[in-house]
Amino acid sequence: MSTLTCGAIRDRLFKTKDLKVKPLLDPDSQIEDGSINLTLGTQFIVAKKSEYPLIDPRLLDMDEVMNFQERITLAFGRAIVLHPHQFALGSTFEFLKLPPDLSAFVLSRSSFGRAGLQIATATYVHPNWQGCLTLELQNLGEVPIKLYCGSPICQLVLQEAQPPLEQKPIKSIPLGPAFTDLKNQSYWKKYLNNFFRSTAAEP
Amino acid sequence: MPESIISAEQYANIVWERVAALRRLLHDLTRGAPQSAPHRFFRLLRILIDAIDKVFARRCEGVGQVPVPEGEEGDRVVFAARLTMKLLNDVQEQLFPFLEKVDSPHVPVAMLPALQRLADQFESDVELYLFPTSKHNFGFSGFRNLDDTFLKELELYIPDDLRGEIQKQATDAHLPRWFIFLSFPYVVHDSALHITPLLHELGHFADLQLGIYKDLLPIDVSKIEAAKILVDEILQMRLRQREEKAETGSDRRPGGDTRVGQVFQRDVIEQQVFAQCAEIIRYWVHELISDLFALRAGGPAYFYAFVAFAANLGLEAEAGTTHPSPEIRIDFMLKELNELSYFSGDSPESIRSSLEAWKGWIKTRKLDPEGGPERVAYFAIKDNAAKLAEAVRKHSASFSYGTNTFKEKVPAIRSDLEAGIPPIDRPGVHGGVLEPCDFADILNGAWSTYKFSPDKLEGLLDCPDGERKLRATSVLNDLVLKAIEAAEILRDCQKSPRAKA
Repeated sequence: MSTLTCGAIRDRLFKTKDLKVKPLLDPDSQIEDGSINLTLGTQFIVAKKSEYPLIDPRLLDMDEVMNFQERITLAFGRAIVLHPHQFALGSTFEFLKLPPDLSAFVLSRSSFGRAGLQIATATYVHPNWQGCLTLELQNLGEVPIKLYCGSPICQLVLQEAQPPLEQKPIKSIPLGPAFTDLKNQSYWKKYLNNFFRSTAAEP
Repeated sequence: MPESIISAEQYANIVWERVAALRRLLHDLTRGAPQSAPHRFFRLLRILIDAIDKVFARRCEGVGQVPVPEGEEGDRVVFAARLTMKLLNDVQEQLFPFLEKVDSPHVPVAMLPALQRLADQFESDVELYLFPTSKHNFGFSGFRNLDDTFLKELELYIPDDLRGEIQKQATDAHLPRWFIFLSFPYVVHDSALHITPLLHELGHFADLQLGIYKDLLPIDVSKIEAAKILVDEILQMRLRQREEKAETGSDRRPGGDTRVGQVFQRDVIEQQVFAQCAEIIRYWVHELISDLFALRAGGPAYFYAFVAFAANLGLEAEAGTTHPSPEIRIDFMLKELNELSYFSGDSPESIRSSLEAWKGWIKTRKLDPEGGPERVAYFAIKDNAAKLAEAVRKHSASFSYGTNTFKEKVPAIRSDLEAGIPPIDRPGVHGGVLEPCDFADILNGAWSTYKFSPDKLEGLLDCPDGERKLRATSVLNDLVLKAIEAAEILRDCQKSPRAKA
């Protein structure tokens, strides 16, 4: 499994065109030696802290999650301020579509990282995935950080995936940050609920 | 409450309280407003309220300094208070409604830059806002030099030194020449497809700004045969009514001359009927100009969006005083689509056959209203149809969305959408740098996908069959909104000095 470097990335983007990263506002500075810089999009999901006491993945459904989070949209070039220890969901401005033989990792840019910003916890992107990546933005530093929509906030490192994956129907094409859908992760909910039932039955 | 028991002082207090309340409200609305809110409009309102306040304060100040007979001072304060209340009412009732939804999360902010760019083609100093309404209607409200208009109302009462001060404040605020508010139904806020009729509302702006309507209006109603017939009908009806009353003895007057009465009545009726018809014609001309403008700017996408919108209200709805019937509008649009070659052999087969079906349907419809001034308006418009279309063409030659543009731009956009990719850019004319897709191209690609190949996007999705259609439409709308937003940003970036370098 090898990492794609600048020439290979350009080939996939502009010659074979099976890798889509749209739009590239400034391709020359966005495509680096071994990665593509991605910028921060215009939509965010932030918590309404005073509304709900906690997230209980076992009980919350999608509507309830949306009740304690709100979506805000800013104009490109405007900024959101992330205070120390504040968490917000954002997304990449660029839309990605990976071909069946490429996967990717999303990494923080070190310049932002050193200011205390963490951009993602779930960093792996599957082959064939398409959409705008949701970024889990968190300010781990001690001072507020102003995040401008359109600033190069993370980088995408592409790797070959072998054998290529077959294209399957997709559940969604996220074009902005997606609300968490913890309750619908049914495989673990099933045994967790069983566990709760059995413990409740105990004397 | 009788006025005499309100003293001049109480009157003045009512004004101060009202000014303070409006200021507080404006402050609250401004503070909670998102970045997409009309911030320069807020600024204008602040200036207007300040100006009204200052003029009133000055008039109250003068009282007592100049010797006036007893009682006159109080009268002057009451007069000034009444005038001030009227002005405050105007500001509150005419301008504050645009601020009621400023914090709504249902404004499709992504579409604003594209719409603003279209508006900028006709006037460089314009600020455009979108606001949702619970009616299933789109609307246009435009204010040209609003600060001047309001300050003119104050002119008579404003002292010279204060006038200069207020005007300076307005100049320093860098207010745009035009404020435009486009309203749209709440329910379509996330649907790029069904928000397309906003193009028609922008057409109203182009019409006013470019003066397209001046090529047609006023139309001489007296020359329209249907108007004369309507006057005759009304006259006959009134004579019949008079005769019936005379027979029953309820309207018997000695020595009455029927002929003199008839001539007199005809003049009066003619005047009333012609004025009413002229008003309806004026509304209809503006509507049809905006339709044709939107059609030439947006191509078949506008036509399909309009019929979907009209279907919500009833395609067979009758003509009204402010709008021609959907059937009349569809008829006009089909003729213009013919002019843009969408019925020719060059037109894509899917579009041509769909439009042929609409043409067939419209032939089966009776377009002229049964009677009344709407019938007169119909014939006035029909007689002037060629002139109307020509007036719009004259002002839209540079961006007409003809068959060739459609064939060149839309297929690539459609194939992107069918693959679940937002059509943001496409190879430039000479290869190399990718060019942003145009707003109209994206909308036409969206409507073509929606109408002629929804199955491809539906096939991409993993969801229960019962939900597939709605899910695919929702995904399509998201892709289109993303494409419109990103394409405009890409266009701006490519215009920037760094990109040029």
